[in-house]
Amino acid sequence: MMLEQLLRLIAQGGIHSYQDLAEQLSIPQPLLEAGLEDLARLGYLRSINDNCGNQCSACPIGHCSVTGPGRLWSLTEKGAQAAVRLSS
Amino acid sequence: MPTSSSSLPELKNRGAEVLAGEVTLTVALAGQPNVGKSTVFNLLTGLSQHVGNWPGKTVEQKTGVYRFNGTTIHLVDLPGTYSLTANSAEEVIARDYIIQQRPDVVVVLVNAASLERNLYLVAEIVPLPTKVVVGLNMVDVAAHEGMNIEPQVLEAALGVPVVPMVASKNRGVQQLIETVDQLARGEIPYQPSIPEIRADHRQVLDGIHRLVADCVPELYPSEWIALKLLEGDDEITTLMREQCLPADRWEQIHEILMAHEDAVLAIASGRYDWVGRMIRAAVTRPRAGQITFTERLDRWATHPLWGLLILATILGIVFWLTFAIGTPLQELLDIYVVGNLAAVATNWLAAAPAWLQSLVVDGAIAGAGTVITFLPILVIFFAVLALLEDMGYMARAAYVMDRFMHLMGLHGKSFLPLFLGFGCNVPAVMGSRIIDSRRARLLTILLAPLVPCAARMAVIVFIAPIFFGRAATFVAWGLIAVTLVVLATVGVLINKWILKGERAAFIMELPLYHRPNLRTIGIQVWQNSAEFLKKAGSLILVMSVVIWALSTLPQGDIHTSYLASVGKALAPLGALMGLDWEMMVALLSSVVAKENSIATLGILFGSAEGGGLEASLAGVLTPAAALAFLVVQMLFIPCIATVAAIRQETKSWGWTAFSVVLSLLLSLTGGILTYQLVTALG
Repeated sequence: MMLEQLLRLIAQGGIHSYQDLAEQLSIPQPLLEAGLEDLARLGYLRSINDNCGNQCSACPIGHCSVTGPGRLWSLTEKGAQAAVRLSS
Repeated sequence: MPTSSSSLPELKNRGAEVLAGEVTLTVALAGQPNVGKSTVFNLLTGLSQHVGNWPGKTVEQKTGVYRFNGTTIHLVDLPGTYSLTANSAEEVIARDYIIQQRPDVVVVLVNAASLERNLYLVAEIVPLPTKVVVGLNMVDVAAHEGMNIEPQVLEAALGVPVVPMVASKNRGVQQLIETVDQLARGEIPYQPSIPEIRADHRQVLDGIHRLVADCVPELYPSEWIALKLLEGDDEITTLMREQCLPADRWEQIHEILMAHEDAVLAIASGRYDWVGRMIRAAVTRPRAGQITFTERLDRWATHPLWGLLILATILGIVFWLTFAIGTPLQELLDIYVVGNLAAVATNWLAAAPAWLQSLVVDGAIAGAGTVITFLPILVIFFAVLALLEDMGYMARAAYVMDRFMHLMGLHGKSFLPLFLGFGCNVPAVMGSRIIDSRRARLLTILLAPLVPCAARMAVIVFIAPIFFGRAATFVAWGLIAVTLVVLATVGVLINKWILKGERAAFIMELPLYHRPNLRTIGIQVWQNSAEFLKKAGSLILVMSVVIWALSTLPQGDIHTSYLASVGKALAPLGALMGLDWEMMVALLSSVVAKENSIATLGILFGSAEGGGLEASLAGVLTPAAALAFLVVQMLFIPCIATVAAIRQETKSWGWTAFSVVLSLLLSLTGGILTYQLVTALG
């Protein structure tokens, strides 16, 4: 059950790369990306750096996108609670 | 409410009707946006199109007619959708049409090069009461990307006909229509593989199905209704609750739904597992050279130890480049541009009042002009950062830093916002919004100003070479390391006492390494440099004039000025760090913007006379005092923009003041300890 396993893996904490997760779930990376977007649509994840540029407008020499062009996600409260339920 | 059900036998009967003679078929074209639906539609219908709106919606509806082999095919172009969940008007239109109008065949066009994302929609359509043909479009693009797709294998796995095609070149479109016709006539076997959900949720679904089975609206498949209720589909939930189900029946269903609020994950997982099976069966992706290159590099760049060493080395090279190229250029600008500008202004204003000449030369040019000489240093910073980012390295830097933080015990939700602070502290404070717990968010905000931002680094790059010559690179590197140790120490305490070991999770896309795009880098450097110059020409210029006024008034003598009064009040504190009152005033002025400390020194020591600011500083500061100054500068009160962000995010003047006091105490303690220790060690 891909999305549930994905949520459990993410909830272990720390920073996960797409490559790590796809390898652990034995799925192609594009399928993982689709799953992440679906989890975000369902409110379990949120994309962190989508509106990065707007936040940096207040800073004269701000350089917000330190992590580069890749996307970055974190668990929402709903996602964290679901992961706990799924792990129990 | 009338009820209905649908099944494959019903569809087979339709096939028999088609076989009986010349008939009309209704075929819907479904698919995600940009998969080539319009191309196929236009190729088939040509001029016989009708364009209008879907009933009651502002979404465009296109229909057309195509005649083939004695069969008239009415084509309906459904709106592009990613799924059939009621997320948008387009998705509702597409699913309502398929369910209520029951087209004879639905052609789902998929992008072969992005099959993993496209098959999800197929997974949602195959359980519906209609026959499906998959148009495997853009097979040329998939082949170009090295994908090997076997349409026959995919067809066998899906249990529905699959037609490979390149619609943009009119390849496979005729075969698609032939397949649609044959399927409608029942000449092709049709046994679709349907996604399944986990056994425990299957029981729940059956339970809901039993409760709704005799109440579903006409044409709606009852099991689909049960599935959508379990998924939490808003539209179907409202429809069933308000128009179909008796109140007591709804209460029973509601209780079941509340007990299985994550069932949507099980259902979506079932579809993803189904997609995964199809992909494994029919698709192979030869490992492209770029991927293996990235993997090879990442073995080192994301390694817990080597990754950190690579990061530290890159940081060292950045400073070395800055000192080797940026500092000499900065000195040249100082001598030839600022110096000459001051001389020209002095000549032009020879007849003007002395105060005006002093304002322009000793205030505006010595202050803002000196800051503008930073430009080569910052251009190098911006260029290297943009280069590393564009190549795809910066994501790796964040990745290995998290592991490093974890080793030190400083891991948690505060990591990412803090990492953003290396560019600027403002996004670091703003980034704390990702933290749900108010207490953890507050503490992250308090830590953010301790991250060395680009502006502070520019001040280091200006001052370090004056006192430390060739060792400046190591001093700069060490100052950042010390700042990070302070940050980590405070962070460890926070993690231990407040976050209680909680470890937050992030998922990061590590992009493929690729050759940097010089245009992208150039644009980024230009934008950041233009912003810096704009700031130097506005905020720093105004502050330079204010500092000049405070250093001149009331008697025209700097030593009896208002600024001197403030500076001398701070002098006893400065003496503990080997800093005289001018240096204390420079620190104080950095609160407006970090670079302002150099502008203030330019005004107080003069940049155009006696060898410039560098020579003046070398004359009044010992290396120990200079080091103490830099330590204080690194940890000092954040700039006004950051303080404003802290106020905005904490919504508390009390916590804003606390942040300022915390930075003040840490910086002064650090400065005093540095000066006393270095002096004691000789």
